[in-house]
Amino acid sequence: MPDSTILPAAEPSAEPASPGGQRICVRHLTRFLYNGPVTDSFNEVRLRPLSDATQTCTRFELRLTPEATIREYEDFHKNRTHYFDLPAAHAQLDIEALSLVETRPDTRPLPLAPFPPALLDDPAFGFEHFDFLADSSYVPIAVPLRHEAKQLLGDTIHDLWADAVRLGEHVHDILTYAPNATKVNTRVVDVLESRRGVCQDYAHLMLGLCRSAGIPARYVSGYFLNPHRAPDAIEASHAWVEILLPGYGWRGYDPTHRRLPGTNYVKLAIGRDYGDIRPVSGTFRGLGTREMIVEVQVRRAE
Amino acid sequence: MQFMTAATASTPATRSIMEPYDVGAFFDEMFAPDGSVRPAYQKVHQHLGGLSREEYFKKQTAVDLAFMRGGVTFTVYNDNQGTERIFPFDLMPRVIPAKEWATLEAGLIQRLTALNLFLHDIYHDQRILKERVIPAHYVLSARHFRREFMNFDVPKGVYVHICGTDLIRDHDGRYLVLEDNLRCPSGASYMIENRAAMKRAFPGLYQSAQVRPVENYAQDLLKSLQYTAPAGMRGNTPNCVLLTPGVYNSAYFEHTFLARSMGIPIVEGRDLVVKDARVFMRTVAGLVPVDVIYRRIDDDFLDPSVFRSDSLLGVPGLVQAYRAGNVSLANTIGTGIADDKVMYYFVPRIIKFYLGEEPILSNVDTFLASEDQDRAYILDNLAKLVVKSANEAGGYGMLMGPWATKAEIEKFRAMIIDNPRNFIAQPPIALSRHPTWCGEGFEGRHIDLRPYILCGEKITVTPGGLTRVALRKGSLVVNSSQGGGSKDTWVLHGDE
Repeated sequence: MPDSTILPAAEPSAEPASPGGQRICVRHLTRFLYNGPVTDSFNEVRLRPLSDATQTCTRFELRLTPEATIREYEDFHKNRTHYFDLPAAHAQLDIEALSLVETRPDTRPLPLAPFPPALLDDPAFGFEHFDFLADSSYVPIAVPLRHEAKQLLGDTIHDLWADAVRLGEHVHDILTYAPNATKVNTRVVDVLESRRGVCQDYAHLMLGLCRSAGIPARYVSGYFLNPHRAPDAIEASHAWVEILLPGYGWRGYDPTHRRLPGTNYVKLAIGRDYGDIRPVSGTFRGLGTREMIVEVQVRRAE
Repeated sequence: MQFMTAATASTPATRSIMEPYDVGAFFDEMFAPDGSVRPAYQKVHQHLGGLSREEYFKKQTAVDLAFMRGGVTFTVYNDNQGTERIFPFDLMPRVIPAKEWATLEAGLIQRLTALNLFLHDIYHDQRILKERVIPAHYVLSARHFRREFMNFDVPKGVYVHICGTDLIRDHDGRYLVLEDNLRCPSGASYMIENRAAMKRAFPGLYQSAQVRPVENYAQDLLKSLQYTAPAGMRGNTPNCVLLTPGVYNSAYFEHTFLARSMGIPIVEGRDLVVKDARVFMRTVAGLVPVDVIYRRIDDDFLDPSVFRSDSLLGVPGLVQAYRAGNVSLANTIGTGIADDKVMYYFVPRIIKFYLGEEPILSNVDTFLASEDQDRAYILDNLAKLVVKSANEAGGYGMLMGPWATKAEIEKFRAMIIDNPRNFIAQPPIALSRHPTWCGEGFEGRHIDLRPYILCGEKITVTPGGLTRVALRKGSLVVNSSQGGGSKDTWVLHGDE
């Protein structure tokens, strides 16, 4: 697949990527093949990369087959969310998202100064971290998680960032990457038990351990540009974690690769866990889905 | 305390059916502590007290029959003696003088004004949390907090179109708010049916007593619904429908009654369909657009594509249509956050915060199990307190400490320790009592009052409401699902 030609023909972008940054284009196709004609299909998608200090989504197109009117809103984590309905009978649905994103290095210094957990109690810090310390549907705060975090960090944590990284590294060390070991709705306690999973499971387990230890953490969905990818390697969406540090902001950690996300990473959406930001979700009337095909291509744009 | 009223001299043969009557150690709605009849009750006392046993019995039988024929019923869950029942009705009306009502009305309008502002704030800037008037975690951890609707602007800014607030009177006759019902409050149909029954049974008395009408409720409700219709749809009168979960719902009678009174279609989820983010009703003449849905289905069941996917009651795509601004829902999604029993504790602060006023109507003293000090007090005093779970309605999930068995108390102790956020406790209130027919004569029975508040262009309170009465002797639980009955509620034009 050639590079940026996967994007619709448009004016070539004049300015180069910012120093140290990259220009990345993404094609994300979700194809549903149903067991027969289905009707009354209602869908919500979170497929538009977000824009923040480290990346800007400069172009985005959402193509639907069959066609439908697309509406959008900002969800409670400020993710751009698109929705559409297909009342008429159809046997296949293609949702294709094409985006162009410019990424920039995070200019902040690494959070090396200690962030004692007491900072979270500072009234000036507010309550924005509440959701990211509490239970969420995929990441219930369960006894085995608390136990695991405690074994590693002891009874009290000292530094939100350093301890979160330790937990992230621990997740990387104890899990084995296994594409078919888990399903999209696997809960985090089962991951801890089976010790196998994919990036979503790595991220959920790290979230569970962080929250059990009192470290506010959120789920990030997105893509990862792999410059060393073998030509026939399967590409997929990616997921990692961000930690909230009072006075500093959010900083990412990727437990699947045991490293900090850089300009090879494209952020799609943020949430408490996967359940908040499913890339594609919906319902329909009919006999069910025979097959779901997902194709992701992440390329450096020239 | 037993006493004879002014007619004491009469011989037993002609003795009033009001005698003997024991006021007991409670606030009695009809009789002052000295046994005299309160001014507002003079006419009612004279008229009903003047009936013979036979006359009274005849009227009661006629009214019961009318309710039976009219199918004025409700359904009891968790009960194996047949589900549908007649709502027992007591002929002796509850009377509220104009002066008292004026205070109630002002207090209820103040409360709903503040609660609507609170809901807007919670789903937008969360100023009340940022300024620490309410600890944020109470809101953010509430089951009925619908994050999906953060930053969503509801049509005309009205969150709660219909509110049923439960009021009680304590030992001194002071009105207190027991709870706010901001989701799908029921009972308004009984208020109207009760009035119709009383007019038939006592046409003369009703005429002379100068009672304010409640019959406009359905039309006022319709006006409120129409007011919040999405702007600029067609210029015609908006199409409103009542969405019911179906015949097995406890309030199905009410759904049919209100739909009929408003002259709007009653529909189930399968009667509605969403196309291009617009809601339509299937009819024999094709699809008819719908602008406003008076939904009597809880948030969780409204739309399986957003909330509970295992529910067949709702309408797939409804939330998308709502989000697109093409249909209004009454009440809106997520109002349950404000009638959570923990949030109740904060309503006086909510009123002060948004309106800068002191609450006109007080709350019952309340302890929050999630506060360490309060919890310690609650656990030490379980046998003296009434414990309620935060998110249940209808008297389910409640512990009446003074009347509970040891096992029940221990069960609640464990539940509270396990999930303190879900419980509040209150001292039991000696609810006011009202003369109520109990087979042989009148006895005092505990009552409450649920007035109905509508919010459209402005907030109005229907003069009256549903007075519920705990028919079992000594019982303080008035809920229809727990063996309660009802009375007509007369708000007078004057004070006597």
